Amino acid sequence: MTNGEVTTLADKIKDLRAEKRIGIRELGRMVDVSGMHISNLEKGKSAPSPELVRKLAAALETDVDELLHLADLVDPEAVNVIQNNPFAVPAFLRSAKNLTPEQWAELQKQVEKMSEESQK
Amino acid sequence: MARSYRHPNMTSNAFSIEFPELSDDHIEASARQLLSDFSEFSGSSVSTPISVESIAEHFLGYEIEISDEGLFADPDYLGGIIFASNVIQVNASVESNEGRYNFTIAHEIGHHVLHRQIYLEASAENASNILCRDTNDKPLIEQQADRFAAALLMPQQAVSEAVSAIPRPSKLKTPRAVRGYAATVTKVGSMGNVSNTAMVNRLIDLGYLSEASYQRGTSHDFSRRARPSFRGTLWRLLTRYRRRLK
Repeated sequence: MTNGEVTTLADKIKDLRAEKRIGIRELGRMVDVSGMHISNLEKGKSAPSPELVRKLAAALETDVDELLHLADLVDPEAVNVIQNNPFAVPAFLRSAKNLTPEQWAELQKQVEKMSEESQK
Repeated sequence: MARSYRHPNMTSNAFSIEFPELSDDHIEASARQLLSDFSEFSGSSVSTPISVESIAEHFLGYEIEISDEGLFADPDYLGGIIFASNVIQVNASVESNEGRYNFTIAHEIGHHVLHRQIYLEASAENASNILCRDTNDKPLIEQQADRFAAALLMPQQAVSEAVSAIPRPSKLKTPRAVRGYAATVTKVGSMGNVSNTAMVNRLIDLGYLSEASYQRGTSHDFSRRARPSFRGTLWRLLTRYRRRLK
């Protein structure tokens, strides 16, 4: 169904619905909004809340971060981390701004390891 | 015999198209064929309740738009189809009404199956116009699309099997009794996505109910309320009543 890279949330939702054969009103019911709301999202006439994007990602079994990115939204959980660490996180992000994708992946592994150790 | 139909488009360049009359058998067969094709597409047998949303979107490739804007600010316009851009529009006002929502989409699918080819051939320059389903007007092609919608949502075989599976009440003389019987057929036949009125009409169309008995009962309701002075007035009232219920 997907031709090339999908660049809008509207197209991504349409493609995933087609792929999984979920009806427009059916998807609305799965995420507790009207079919008209989904229709408007797919026409790019309205923007979803982060909470709705989470529900859409779950219903369509897709990556929530990709949907949030397409919706120009930041995961509220990530916003919380920044707000709870108002100095450390911005400083960390500034120092990491030139990292390569591979270095980001390596860094994430390290952070996950540290998180696991701190929970022991 | 062909009849001329001036469709209720919103633009000033309305035009007339000759649509042929179609027999009920032809329309029934067209609905059966679509279900058969959809079954092949799905890779499994299709059973009731029929997902007309899936047929429209995933099999026929239509985009369904649910809207309350423009033409659809008027709740009398239930739906429409734009052949040129493969769009089926549904009035948001019917979205929460299970029967009306499904019947509206099935009706537009009926236009696709029965009228699209003729429409596009006759109106190459006007293909962006919309055929609309409204609550008040029933020209020939609207009646045909209604019959198709009924045949699609309530397949003859499914209705027949449900009717055979339940004991038929000895008396079906009042609208209430008729509606109760239709509700049982709907439940037994797993056709919960249609309205009770649609099932009553389907049972009449398929000959399982006598139209006369239903009308007699309904007329009685009206005669008590409206006291029509002559039969013609009564018939018009009855027709309007049935349309409102649809």
